[in-house]
Amino acid sequence: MSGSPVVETEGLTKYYGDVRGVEDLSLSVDPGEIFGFLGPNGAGKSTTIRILLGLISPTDGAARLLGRDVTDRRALLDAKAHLGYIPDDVSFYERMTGSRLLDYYAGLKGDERREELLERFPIPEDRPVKGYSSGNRQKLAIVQAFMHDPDLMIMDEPTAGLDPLLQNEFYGLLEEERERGKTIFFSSHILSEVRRMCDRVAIIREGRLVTTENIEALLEKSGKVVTASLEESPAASAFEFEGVSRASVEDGTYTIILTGNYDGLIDRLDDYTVRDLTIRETSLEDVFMHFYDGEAFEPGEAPNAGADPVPGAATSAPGGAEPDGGAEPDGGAGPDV
Amino acid sequence: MFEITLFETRRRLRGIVYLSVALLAYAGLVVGLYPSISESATDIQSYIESLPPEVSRAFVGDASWYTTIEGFLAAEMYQFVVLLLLGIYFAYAAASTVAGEVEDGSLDLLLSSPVSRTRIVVGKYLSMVPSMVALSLVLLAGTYVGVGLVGEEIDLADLARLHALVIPYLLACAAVGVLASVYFDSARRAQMVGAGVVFGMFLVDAVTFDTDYEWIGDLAFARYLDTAEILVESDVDWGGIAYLLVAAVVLVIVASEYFERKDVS
Repeated sequence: MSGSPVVETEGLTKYYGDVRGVEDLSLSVDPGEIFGFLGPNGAGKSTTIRILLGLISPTDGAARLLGRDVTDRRALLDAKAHLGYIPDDVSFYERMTGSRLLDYYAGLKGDERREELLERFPIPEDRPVKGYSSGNRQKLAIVQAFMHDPDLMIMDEPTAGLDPLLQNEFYGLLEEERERGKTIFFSSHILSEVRRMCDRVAIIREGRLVTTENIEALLEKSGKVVTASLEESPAASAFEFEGVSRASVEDGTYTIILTGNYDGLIDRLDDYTVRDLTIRETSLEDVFMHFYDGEAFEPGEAPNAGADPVPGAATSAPGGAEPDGGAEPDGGAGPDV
Repeated sequence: MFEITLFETRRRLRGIVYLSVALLAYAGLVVGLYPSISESATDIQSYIESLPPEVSRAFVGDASWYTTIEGFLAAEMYQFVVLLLLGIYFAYAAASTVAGEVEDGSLDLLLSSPVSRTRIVVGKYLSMVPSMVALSLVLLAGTYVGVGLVGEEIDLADLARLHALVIPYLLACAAVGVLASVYFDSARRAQMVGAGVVFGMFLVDAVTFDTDYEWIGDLAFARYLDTAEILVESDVDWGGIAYLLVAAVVLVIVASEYFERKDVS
């Protein structure tokens, strides 16, 4: 594997009759990369993955796996020898035991790493899969996916059902794989894991690619989230000045997305009595929400609150310790507090 | 090369054991009934002659044959259990293979392995063969021993030949099921269509036989395995057997090619 892309799509389009699956999707994943594929439900993530696996054929455009055209039967078979796959909500043959299933898949694609993987992700091998917990099912899916030491791993929501300990074990495995030059392409809803694992992400929405970006760059560009609670209640537009990409107010709490420096913000806040002030880095949730719908840039309601711990970035100024600028010295026609 | 077939055969094992037991029980019943039938042979023959010809063709067979052990077995067991029941069973089982696994997603892992779709279809289809052979052998042994136990005699060579020729018939039925299985997305629909086509062919053959509309049933698989003729007259329609085998191969090829091109979503 040289530097040529491991996964590559060009203008990839899939319509199911009139229903759009994906449209004009172009992306490319390099060797040794952990690539996150994000988007809300129904955005076209699974469609894209299924095209890459050759399960469905594109209406238009091209897709290549490990340099092979996925619409070419023979070439695709060749690529699949070096591919591992963890489906979303994996289903197995329920009456079979774990070890018999692994024997089966081993016969079809090899199992150089099976024992080692089973030590890290132990399952009750001799019991029928029917009785497995969701964690055990997921471990079985991981073992079968990695056991033939594939060059490329495609995963749809791979950590669903794993407890935190196993998640860590799994992340460790992914990092080792990356060290060994393997490529990982996965879709996820769990932004903390995307943040932690991915080198780059692609975000798709309504079948179209919104952005492909390095995670750090994406977050950096997205600026800071300022949450302020004031004694007064000026209109949100009071905080729209240069360097602010968005300002909104809800229930007396102002949310300001700041991409410039702090000076303008501090000047403006000086006009009011600040009861509470928080500044933190944009989380992936914020970015995510931002790309999904122009509205919901509400950090407080991010879907995965614990997801973006950047402790140093959060500064809090409790209401009591007011910075001197109490502009309105509790004069009569005070703000309706 | 045969991983899929071996694996699927193993999965089928338990069902085949149950079905064997049921078939043996039925064979025991039929064979056990024969002595009383042969005692009242004349009455029964006149009763059969009074039936509408379509009904006797479908479910009883030739009246003069019916009271012999061969004719009785052909009518009560082979026509019914093998042509109809096992034909439907294998069409149904084959119809469940691909459609069922596409539906519940358990085929995804196989489809992401370096295995062509043709190999999946053919592998699953071939996994029916050991079941067919096993059922046929079990029934052969059971019937032969049973006939001996009730003090009758039957030519083992004819019986064995019939049991061998049942396989091409069942292969053709299973091939119908496989085609339904790749065509329909819902396992239920595939099963209904697969089993329904085999049942329909059986009926069409029976109803049109010896009528002006006989040609309508010319494609029906059941027409080419005349169990009574094989047992009573030791007569085999080899052209018909060839038709069954060709039909099976063609249907499986069409199914494989169709599945290669299909979107599995």
